[in-house]
Amino acid sequence: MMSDRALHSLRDIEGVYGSFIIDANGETVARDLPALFDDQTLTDSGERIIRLWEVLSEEGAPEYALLEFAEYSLFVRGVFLSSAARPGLAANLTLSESAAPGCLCVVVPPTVNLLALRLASKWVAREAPRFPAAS
Amino acid sequence: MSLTDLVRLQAMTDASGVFLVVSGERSGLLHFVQGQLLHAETRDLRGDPAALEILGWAEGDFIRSERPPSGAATVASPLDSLLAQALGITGLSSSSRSMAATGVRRRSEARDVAPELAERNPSSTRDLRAAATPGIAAAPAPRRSSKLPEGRALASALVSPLGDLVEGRGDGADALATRVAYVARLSEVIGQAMGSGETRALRVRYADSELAIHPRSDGHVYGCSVAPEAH
Repeated sequence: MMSDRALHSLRDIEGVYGSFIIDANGETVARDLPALFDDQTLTDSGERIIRLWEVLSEEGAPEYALLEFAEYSLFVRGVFLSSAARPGLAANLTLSESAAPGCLCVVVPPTVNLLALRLASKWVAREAPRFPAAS
Repeated sequence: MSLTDLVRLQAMTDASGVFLVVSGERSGLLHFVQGQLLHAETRDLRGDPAALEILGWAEGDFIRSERPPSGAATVASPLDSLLAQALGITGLSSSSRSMAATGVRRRSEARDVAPELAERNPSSTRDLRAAATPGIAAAPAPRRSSKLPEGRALASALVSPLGDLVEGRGDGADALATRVAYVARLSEVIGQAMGSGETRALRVRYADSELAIHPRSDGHVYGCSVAPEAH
């Protein structure tokens, strides 16, 4: 797992603290976050974020969710990751057939420019299939 | 017993009803549902401004009315926040303000936070700001408005701390209440895991609607699904 240029681009949005991508199991597949967030923190929260996204998606896929906490906010949007590493899938499957769902999570201040973030995250979502799901 | 004490009492006893407050020439109404202040009005004001004005009156008579509580929820701020503002408590943390204003410990403080999550609090806001993109990091800035999204309400639900639907409106209020209860709890746990503090609000943007969820200081959670007005 390593930091990525696509995730780093989110820092072009003023105030963005960092971001990470999790797969359908809540495992972190990419991160661009300060060391304050250790891997265990992301493991603990990743699983719940995926569950939250699944519940929110029951009646249609949301564009995004914004969780506003006392200290900062968490912007979440669905992405598709590459599942090429998943056993049993043929190599010539199209992206839609081989894509695995995941979430892009961006840690932001309460004052973040949401419109800019929506657009920037859309671009990262398009890049997300480059990241293989962890499992 | 002071006016604010009487108001606190309604919250602590989960009272429901309409209370007429008369202070000299002034009068106002406070509508409580299960201890939650949902509506306030004076001759000229409605909602939060009315509640703040009434709670700011130094003394007054507190008369229970026979009329049923209003169905419309016009008060957006938690009662503890309104009481704190009315009492001029501004220099304390939100939890201290809550305790000072309501005399009760917030639900999130009473609950046992998983020790491993409580110990690992990765986010000092100051440290995070240092890591953030330069620009707004130096000084605290105003928060995003937590007002409900504007538009046509499709459904709303007020859920008790035990997950009961206290008040629902619109089609699918029951289903909304279930989602609101679970989503609010998940958000709370995510906030604990990430050391980000209590949940203030959750907004979810769909193609044709928006869901807003607001946990209240008394443990109730309000959820509302809104279809944005076409422009």
